[in-house]
Amino acid sequence: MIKKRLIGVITVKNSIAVQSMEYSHYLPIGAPEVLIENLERWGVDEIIVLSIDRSQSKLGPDLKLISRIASMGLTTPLSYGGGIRSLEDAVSVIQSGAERVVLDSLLIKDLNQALQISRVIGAQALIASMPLAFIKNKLMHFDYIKKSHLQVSDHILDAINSRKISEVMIIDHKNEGLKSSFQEELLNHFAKKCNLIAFGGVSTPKQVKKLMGIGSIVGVGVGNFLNYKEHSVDLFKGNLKGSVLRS
Amino acid sequence: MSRKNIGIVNYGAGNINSLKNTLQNLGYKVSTPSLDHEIRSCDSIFLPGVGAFPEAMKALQITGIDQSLKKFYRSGKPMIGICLGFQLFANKSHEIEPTRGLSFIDGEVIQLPQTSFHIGWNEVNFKGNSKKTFSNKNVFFFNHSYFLQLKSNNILGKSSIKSIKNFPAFYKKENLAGVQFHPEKSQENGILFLDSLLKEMLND
Amino acid sequence: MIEGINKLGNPESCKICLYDTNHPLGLTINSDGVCSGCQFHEEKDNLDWVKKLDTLKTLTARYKSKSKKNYDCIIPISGANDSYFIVHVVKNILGMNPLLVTYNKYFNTPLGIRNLANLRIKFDCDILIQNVNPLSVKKIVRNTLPNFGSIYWHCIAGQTVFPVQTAIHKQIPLIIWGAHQGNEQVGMFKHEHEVEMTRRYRKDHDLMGFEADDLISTFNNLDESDIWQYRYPDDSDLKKVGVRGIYLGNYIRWDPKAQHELMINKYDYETSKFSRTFDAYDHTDCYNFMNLHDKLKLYKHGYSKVLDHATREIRHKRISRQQGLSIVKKYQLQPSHYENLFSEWLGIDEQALQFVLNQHRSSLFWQEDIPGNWIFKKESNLKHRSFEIEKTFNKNSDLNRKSNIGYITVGKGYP
Repeated sequence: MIKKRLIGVITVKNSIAVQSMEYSHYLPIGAPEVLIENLERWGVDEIIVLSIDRSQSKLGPDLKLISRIASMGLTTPLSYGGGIRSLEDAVSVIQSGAERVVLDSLLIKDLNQALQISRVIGAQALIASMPLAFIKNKLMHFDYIKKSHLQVSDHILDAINSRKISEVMIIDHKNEGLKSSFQEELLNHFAKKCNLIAFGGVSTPKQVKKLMGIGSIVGVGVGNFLNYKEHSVDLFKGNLKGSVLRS
Repeated sequence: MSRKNIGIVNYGAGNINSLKNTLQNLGYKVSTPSLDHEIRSCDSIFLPGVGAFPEAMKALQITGIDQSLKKFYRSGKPMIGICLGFQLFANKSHEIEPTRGLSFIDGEVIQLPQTSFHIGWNEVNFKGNSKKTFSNKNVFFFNHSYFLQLKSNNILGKSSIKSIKNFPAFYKKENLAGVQFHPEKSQENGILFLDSLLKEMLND
Repeated sequence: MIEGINKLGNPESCKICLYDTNHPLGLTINSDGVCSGCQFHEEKDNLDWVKKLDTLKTLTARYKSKSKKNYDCIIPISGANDSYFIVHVVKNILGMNPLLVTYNKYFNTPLGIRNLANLRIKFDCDILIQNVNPLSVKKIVRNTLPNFGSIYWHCIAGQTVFPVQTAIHKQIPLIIWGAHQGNEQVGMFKHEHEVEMTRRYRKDHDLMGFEADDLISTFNNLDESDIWQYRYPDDSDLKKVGVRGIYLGNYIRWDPKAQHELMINKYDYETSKFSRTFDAYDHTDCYNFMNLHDKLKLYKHGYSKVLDHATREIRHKRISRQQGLSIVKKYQLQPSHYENLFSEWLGIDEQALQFVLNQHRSSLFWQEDIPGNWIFKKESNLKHRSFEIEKTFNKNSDLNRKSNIGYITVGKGYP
């Protein structure tokens, strides 16, 4: 049967890979290529690269970075997000070497563009990244460009439910970088048939195991916490290796 | 023994670096041919593929590569399709709109039931020689929502998801082979698969 | 060097220390203008160090050899830097029986050899020394110097891999390091992350992106026989033995100056004046680290070790930022010494050496106004001022230790 995935999430800012905490605080880690090569050696199931300063600086996707990664001869599935403004950008990202594209601010800014991207590159090549939080007990969507929360758009949910977007990465942005803090309740808002990736504040194998047990979860993303010890992927896969997760 | 020359057919189908690197590391000379004489001169070719069937067929037709592929198929030299590339070998696809394929395989490409997506690492149940080689290394990366439906004795590997059991994951008949998964994105298992497949097909 | 790292012509500077966002390890600056490295240092005054020491004791206790027939841990040492303090902590505070390991870097000063011998004698420890044959080492340097502007690749590669190889061969899983350079300089991690040794960090930051196998694919005249000694062990071997490298700096309030002074008093550690910095304690074991290697740092990165030392002292609140700036001006353009020793050792003439060195002057920081005359764009020289902080460094010996000037052949032993 199909396995669930332990996904290595690499946040890139000013061309270096960084630890990202609560979407506001950053510590330098090093060269994205070296991190990626290392994750592949560790046997991670998928790599998601998020270039978090590209939309704000209006530079478009970091195609040079994707090309450099691709020319390393990576044999691990790669998804890229950051700065994708249009269909042209999305196609360039795929042609530069990523399997799938991650859309975040474009979903809020221009959902129709996102739907067009889906029609051309295929829904299976599209991941929606949604930083969410509970504000006064209400589930809100974080617009990281405007740094404000808004209601989760019905149109976005429609796009997800009608299979125009294959997977959704739910980011607990408030708990990003904080130990054992990913809020499972964030997932409840989505229909059981959705394919969800949990990310933000996942720091222990126990958490990973619990999340992997949730039906709608297809993958769990770990970012900062993969950088503290050797063989971290093994650590996080724990005894799920060979069963729920591939060994 | 001189190094065999493998061509990864270049029709704008997206990144080929992973496949190129893996094949080079296995000791092959790798090129990315698009012109007829370039394709013809290869000892073996791969047809990769990303995106939608109609777009891909259009690209093959506009460039004339579809003709080169038909000639190569008739030459008897090994030809391997990956993911969409494999699907392009079919008679026809129903993705977006009914589109004719290269017709190397008698089958049709249809959507996975319940509009499922097949994304992630999944087991492939092999038949024949591969079964032993991959007994505990049979997990590969898939990323598709359409599949090639066909009845054949040449399906050497099958995969299953909730909505459909045992659909073709690995097909091989004489000089033609196809995989629905991405061996070039399946780390060690994928490298092992490509190595054994090429050894088998180039030594036939 | 990994391409694509964004070296801005206009970096942002920290308002507390002397670093900016061009720092080779990467540096971030928060909305208050404070850099990630200073933030790491601010943690030092806000942590429960008693609790942290307990954590360290509990962690290390389970590695003690039950049969007492093996060592409890491995300590990588050089005789200089953190060496004495780490051994002191491990033996006296953690009560462990360590195996000391050291890599012969060839550029050894008499002072360094004396300190190394004194270390193992005073602490009564067993020591393993790795000597890679001089032909291979020189071949490596003949490639890394012109191509990377580095004479130190082999030193760092050896120092960081030999302990790991030893851990596997002798089945001693625990390796105890002192400070994590990424933390101490740029606050790469917080103390609470308790970051451990990883192959990734070594490749990224210690080896400038080039592991041993990358050298043979990059350089035509190096082959397997020259570099296999520097190859990191396989993951399967690491996992089998359970190799784990920890950093004392995550559990002990790290202050190199204070630690050295304790070691001088307790264990007779000897020190030396340097021409290119006010610090007298680190790097006493090497003729090149504070000389030729430091000159290359200034050429390539536009700053040298004295700035690291000044930043460290600013963060420990022993000097002000302004004093730090001034003391850097005083030292960073001072001449480097002992380059003749290096040229002789490598077998090139001194003019050829300077020619190669000049190739590595970054145009961001250096300008050749007339052939052979280089202008350092950043700061001006400041010669004659003296600083209080300089007096507080106890200089009780000298690199050459009243013996003949020259690289000490390791294996010869200390008389």
